[in-house]
Amino acid sequence: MSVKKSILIVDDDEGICETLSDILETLGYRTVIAADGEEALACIQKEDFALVLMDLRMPKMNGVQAYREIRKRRPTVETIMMTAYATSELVQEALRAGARAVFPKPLAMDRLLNLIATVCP
Amino acid sequence: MNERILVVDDDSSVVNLFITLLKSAGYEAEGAYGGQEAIERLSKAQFDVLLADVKMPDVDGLEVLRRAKDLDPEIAAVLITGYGTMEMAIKAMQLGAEGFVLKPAEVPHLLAIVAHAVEKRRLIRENIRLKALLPLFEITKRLASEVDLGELNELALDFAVRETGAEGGMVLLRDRASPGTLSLAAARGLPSALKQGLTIPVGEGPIAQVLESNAGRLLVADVEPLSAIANGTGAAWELCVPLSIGDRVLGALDVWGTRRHVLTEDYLPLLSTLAGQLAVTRENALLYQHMENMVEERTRELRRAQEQLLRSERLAAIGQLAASVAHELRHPLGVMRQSAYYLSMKLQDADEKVRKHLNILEKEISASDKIITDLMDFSRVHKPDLTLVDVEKLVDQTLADVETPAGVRVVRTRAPELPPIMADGQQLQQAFRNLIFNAYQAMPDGGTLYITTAQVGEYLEISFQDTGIGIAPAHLEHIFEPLFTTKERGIGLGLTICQNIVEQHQGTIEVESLVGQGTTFTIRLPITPADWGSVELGGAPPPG
Repeated sequence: MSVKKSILIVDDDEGICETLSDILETLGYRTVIAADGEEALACIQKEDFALVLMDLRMPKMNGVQAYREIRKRRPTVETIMMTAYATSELVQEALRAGARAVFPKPLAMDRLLNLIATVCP
Repeated sequence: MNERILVVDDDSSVVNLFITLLKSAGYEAEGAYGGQEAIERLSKAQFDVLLADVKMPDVDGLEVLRRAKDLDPEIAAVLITGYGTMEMAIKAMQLGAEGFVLKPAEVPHLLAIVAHAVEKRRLIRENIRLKALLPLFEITKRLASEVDLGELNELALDFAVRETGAEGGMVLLRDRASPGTLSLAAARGLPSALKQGLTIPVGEGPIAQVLESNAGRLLVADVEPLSAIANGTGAAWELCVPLSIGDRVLGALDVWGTRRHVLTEDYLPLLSTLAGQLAVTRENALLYQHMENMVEERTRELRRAQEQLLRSERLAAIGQLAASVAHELRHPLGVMRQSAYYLSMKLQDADEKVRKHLNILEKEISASDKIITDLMDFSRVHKPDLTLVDVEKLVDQTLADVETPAGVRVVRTRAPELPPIMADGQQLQQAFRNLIFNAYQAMPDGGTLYITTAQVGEYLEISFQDTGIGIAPAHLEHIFEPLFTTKERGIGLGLTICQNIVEQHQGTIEVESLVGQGTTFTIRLPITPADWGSVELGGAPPPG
């Protein structure tokens, strides 16, 4: 299977990151895991990702803040947010800031994978 | 009232002289010119004093005295004799004579002896009245402590019959519904044909007069007609007093007897007092009952309010717990779900057993997630976020989201044109989802779910009717309570969430169920909610 595009997974929950990474890699994506916003920024500096899959609520820097920082460095990167709290104001803020979508947790995997396939074919 | 004296002598001049003397002294006097005539008169009318000659050709004075005492043991008697013997005097005293007048009588002496007899008679009457006071006091106490209206009538009637030496009696009450009739509230000594509860027309008789005049009456059979009922028992006298409070006549207390000798007239004040007592007590008892009903109603209201408070406190406590538990569990469950998803991808071609276990994993994770979702929903029922929503569309979307089990048919019936309403679409979907989910679970062997929408006045009605197993009546009143469940798995929050959501929308949710036939939940939502400002927030605030 040829290597598809790279995806950066940002979540403070290791289990989420690991399982997502394994699922995406099974489908041929390359993935990198970051535990918080700062780590994510460091990864962005080193590598050009097609997509950032990021939790909205993280320690140190929340998803929207991290997303804004990422956009400064990589204006074209696509972002899909994940959150356990679908009704929070952060969701609206994330969408206004330019996130492609906000997925409620637990993730509806089929739908998420479909969107990812569209965003980075 | 002047005392009535019967003068008896075979010598008419003596009779006439005595009558003149007694009348001038202020008494009412009548004469009898022989023993036999005296007895006849005594049996027909009532006299206070008997003044009789001892020696008479037909029936002598002692015999007249004996018969007089038979008829009225309290009659006072004075014997007139031309010659006194000790033997005669002793016999007279034994028979109850009060004194003797020797012929020729001196006027002052005669009047003194008569006055003495009259005084004795007065004392006897007074004694009857006083004697009656004690039992009256007793009966008043008992009446006051009795609140059963029927029992009150019985108590009063028993007392009246006992104290007057009557053989029969009744309590008659005016019928409020039909003023022209009286109902028999209690009865003694009546043929069994006249049962309690019988209604009789007021009519024209003596009872009608008592009701009309609000005054008691003594009736004597030979003088005037008795009431039809008393007359039917062969009574010789009848005492009837009104049951009244002031001018208000509620009915009558009536007693009668066959023996004439009783001093029945003296019982009028006693009976009147009793009847007044009964009337007042009846009114009090009615008032008491009314008050008791009010107190009961108020108590019920308080209990309801208390239950409501308890429920909301319990809800709040559960809400806090739910929020933290759900929060903690959701993450690991999400990871498990993704992990299972990964394994399914990897093991698509694995053997049947492996795939079966993967299915079990996914199914059980979903079931656990439903519990978590319920808990989260429950702790997050907040003030509705109102937008204009199309309820039909929300129902359809919810139906599409929940997988319909095999064997279950869904029948949608739509109202011709349902207006959009201001509501929180997400919350309504949550409520619908829970009801649909419950309906599916209630039909493990298949069935039909009828979802019907309608506009009823100012309300939208959405009903979910299943043909499932139904809910036992004992469970029915608890199903909306938090943590009440009959399911093997489930924490009993689904319907509580439904109710919370519906109530937040100022609507109502009702349930009807027949075991073995199915259950119908009906949600009613106001098309224009009255006042959103007054809606109180339920559950815990949304976390984060």
